[in-house]
Amino acid sequence: MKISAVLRSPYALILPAIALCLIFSVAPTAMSVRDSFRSVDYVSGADKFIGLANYRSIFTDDVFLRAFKNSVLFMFGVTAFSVPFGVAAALFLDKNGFIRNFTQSVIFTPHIVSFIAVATLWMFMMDPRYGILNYILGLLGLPPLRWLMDSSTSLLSLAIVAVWKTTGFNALIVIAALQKIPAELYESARLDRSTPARTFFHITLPTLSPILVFLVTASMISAFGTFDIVKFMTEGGPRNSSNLMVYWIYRTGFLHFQIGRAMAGAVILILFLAVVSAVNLALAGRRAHYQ
Amino acid sequence: MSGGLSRAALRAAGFAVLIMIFAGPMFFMLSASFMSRYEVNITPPALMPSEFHPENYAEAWERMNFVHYLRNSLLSTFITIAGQLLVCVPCAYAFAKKQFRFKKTLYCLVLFDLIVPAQAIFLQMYILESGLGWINTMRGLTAPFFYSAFTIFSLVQYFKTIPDEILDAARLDRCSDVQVIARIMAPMASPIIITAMIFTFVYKWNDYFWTSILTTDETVRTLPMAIQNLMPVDHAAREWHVIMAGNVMALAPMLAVYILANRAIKSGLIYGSGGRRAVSGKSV
Repeated sequence: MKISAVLRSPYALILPAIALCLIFSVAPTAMSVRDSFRSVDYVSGADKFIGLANYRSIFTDDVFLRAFKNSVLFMFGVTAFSVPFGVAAALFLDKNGFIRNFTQSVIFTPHIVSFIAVATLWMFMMDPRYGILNYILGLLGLPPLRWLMDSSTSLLSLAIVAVWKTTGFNALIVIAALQKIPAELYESARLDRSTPARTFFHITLPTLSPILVFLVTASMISAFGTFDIVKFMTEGGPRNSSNLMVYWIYRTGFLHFQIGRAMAGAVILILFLAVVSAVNLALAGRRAHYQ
Repeated sequence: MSGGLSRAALRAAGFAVLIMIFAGPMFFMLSASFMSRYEVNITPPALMPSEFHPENYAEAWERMNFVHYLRNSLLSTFITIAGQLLVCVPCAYAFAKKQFRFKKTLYCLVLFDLIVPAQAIFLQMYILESGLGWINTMRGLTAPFFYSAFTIFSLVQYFKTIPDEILDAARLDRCSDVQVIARIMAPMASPIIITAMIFTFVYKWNDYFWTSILTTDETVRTLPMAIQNLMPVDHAAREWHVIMAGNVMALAPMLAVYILANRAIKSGLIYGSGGRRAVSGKSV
């Protein structure tokens, strides 16, 4: 084939994207899987196959197990609040009107602000001595907390930040979905003298179910992969109480140079998220109403 | 009558609570950025500065070396946007409007990024870029992100809705693919292209993850990293008034885009409904 013919074929249009995808996504993933079965040292050049030894090693490592457990807890905790809060806010803010539109924009703002700005802001508010959160707790007659500096509240503190940052996004997605529900459905419910609660459970919720499945899955995936706020706000501490999987991979690979073990953790992360998505889709297949 | 009134009061309370929870902290950041060193560290905390200290901004500007990081943020964001336009738009056009062998398989390959989270492959990205000598370079920070599965996917969905007849007419006129894209596809699909690029802007501007992985010195680091430089490790030495001023400066361009493009961002969510994936995916 002539060069000019190749340039005119559809393959020329997709070539740059395919090339970048292979080099920067597929290859690193393949290398991760490969290295998870090997003992790799990029400094000395040592590299040999060691089977499942890396996996055995991390599953007997207390720090890894702690990070894994924290990530699962964090994933469920954040999702359990950010999705229902988002739905509640959406139901409240559905329909147009100046104040509603304004409030929609306000609750979405944290989503477009960088995690670093959000992190510094909340570190300021969570300051044990001068922070405004302890002041508010005081007003409510509650004892002050040490927030990020206490191993019993550090993970909770990070979860609060994550929920605050993501609720508005969930709300906006649900509002978009609500506005696609045909008005006739509500009209007929009204004619049937349905109560608001019945209308909600028989019309609104079933119509929303595909989008809720998406939100729950996306929220679980992003919460499980949280890194920025861990690195910036707590560095996994105190005593690994807020250490999450991705930060563990980062520390194991970058600070301890244990590439093989870090990659075994990365493969576990990929597999775990694949299982989470599959389970959500399977549960949804039975419950959700796709139109 | 009183029922209607209490419902209105309840609704007003609802707005107030939502605005307080979500705008309150942002307002507090702005307020603290104008306080004195003394005022940010008192109990009970001051909600408003008793006198304005705009010099906090001058101090943050200088200590952050703001111009250097702003330049890097602007460069990396706009290079990434330009790159995505060149790589993703033609690719999406081919998958939406062209017929060729292995199309399905290749499309699945292109969407690979949506399945494997960035957080699982960053170490290999670092190793790969060190091998290429791309660490601490602008190309290392941008080129891998010219390809975005999220952008391609949302463009393909929209391109498919453009009627074939219009494209056939152009082909009869012997327009090349590049001409079809530039003269017909891009103008007709401009709402979704703009929305996708706003998403890219948001994620690249705010990106901390990839910048912290792919850089080891300050040469090409961006604004989120500059904020980090304002935070001393020693907790007691943190000067919150200056840090908050730095935060406000780093946020300002983002907020300006948000206010100007409010509608496009919201409608983009309705098309895409996949913004979150863009956060977790490599696609910035």
